[in-house]
Amino acid sequence: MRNLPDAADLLKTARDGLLNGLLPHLPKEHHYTALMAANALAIALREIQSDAGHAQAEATLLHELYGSAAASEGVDAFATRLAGDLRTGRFDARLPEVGSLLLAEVSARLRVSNPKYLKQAGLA
Amino acid sequence: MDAKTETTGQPDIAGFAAAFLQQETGAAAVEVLGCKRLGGGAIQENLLLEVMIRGGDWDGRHELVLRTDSPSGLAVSLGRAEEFAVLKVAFAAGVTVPEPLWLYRDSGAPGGLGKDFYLMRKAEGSAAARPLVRGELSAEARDALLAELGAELARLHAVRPPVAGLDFLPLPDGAPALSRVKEYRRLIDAIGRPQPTLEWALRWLELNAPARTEVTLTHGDFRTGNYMVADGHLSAVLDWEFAGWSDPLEDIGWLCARCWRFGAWEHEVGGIGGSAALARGYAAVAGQPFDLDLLPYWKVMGTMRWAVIALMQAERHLSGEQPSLELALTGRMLPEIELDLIQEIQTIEEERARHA
Repeated sequence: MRNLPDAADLLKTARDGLLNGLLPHLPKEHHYTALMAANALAIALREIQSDAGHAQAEATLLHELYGSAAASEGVDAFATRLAGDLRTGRFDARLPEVGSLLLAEVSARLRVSNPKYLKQAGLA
Repeated sequence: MDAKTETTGQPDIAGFAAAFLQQETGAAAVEVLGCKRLGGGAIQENLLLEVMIRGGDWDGRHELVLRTDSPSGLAVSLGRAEEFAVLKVAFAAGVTVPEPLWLYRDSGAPGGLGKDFYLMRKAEGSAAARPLVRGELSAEARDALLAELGAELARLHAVRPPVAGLDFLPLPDGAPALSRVKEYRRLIDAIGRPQPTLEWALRWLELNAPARTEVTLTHGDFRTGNYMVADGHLSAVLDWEFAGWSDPLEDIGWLCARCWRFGAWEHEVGGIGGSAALARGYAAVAGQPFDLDLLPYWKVMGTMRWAVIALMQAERHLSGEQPSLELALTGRMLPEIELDLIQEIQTIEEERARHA
């Protein structure tokens, strides 16, 4: 059995209530907090609705840099390894290429956190 | 601004400051006419005090700003006594700052306030960034303001070590750029979460660090939002808690980094305008321009600094030390900063390839 309305519906409805029902009645000094709350709800909504884009970007990054053998390492271990390898200069000869791969991964996270920013940066 | 219309609910600190002022100025009496909290940093608390001083050298009505640590203080920046010392040096060097007047040092003895504070003259104007960035000023007024900002930086950067009274500020060990790379790695390690994109950018900053070791007094947080403007002209440079000895271009890179343009990306210098006007104002005081070729490097360093600050702010929320919606959302800004870092570095590399 599914719980209905689902989480996405609840977040969207809560955000609409906050922006349209509550915000107009709040004193001005509380608008900033209300807008931050609305933003947090919007991010959470995009996060639960997001496709596999981010996981895919991470997998590509992993594969390009470490080959198929590293895929079993898991994302957290991989991030630690990549961070260490970058610091110690293991990828010095490939820095521009690694930058492009990281850009794809960062863009995937931005599609959830702030898609407008991606657009302003000419990447949407 | 009517100081009496709003109270802070802090009669203690105002009353304490009045007694302190009476003693410092040799007044017969000091009456607090108003006390109001001013907007400002999350770390410091600024109170506007309107006082009537009777007798002594300061006889009359005065508007003063009292700056102290807020209850949720964070020990990453200078303390108030150190900030007061820096402010005095900057004031003496001709930088437009609120004149620092008196420092209260708490000895920890009973009857004390329990924390340091200092008093400065109130500066006119507003530090709000958005009106400045959103077209309140004409193109000519923007260029004039940028030239003033350049001139202020040049006056500050004329101060070289050693300076009596500033011996608490550490000198960078070698090139300031490499010293920063080390510091940021240490701060990232202290948080303990891997940051591949930041490591990528830090490695680039390390491999491309300028060799120069020239250091001057730097503000450390010179950006739109931290200076006041009255009638289109700069009226005060605020928030000196991150001052230190560093490469002077670090201040300029921070001011020009994308994160301090408040959305007005087309205006490189703090969302106000182009770097030519800033450089002109700087050269008029310094006698020589700053190195525009090195500015892109220091913009990347500025963006890196913001990434590290954002991580630290988010960590205060994540660790449970200070649960806060604002700090939580700052954590979600990290990909924006990472994107800036990658794009800024890619632009430099593309430019370099074109000229190779």
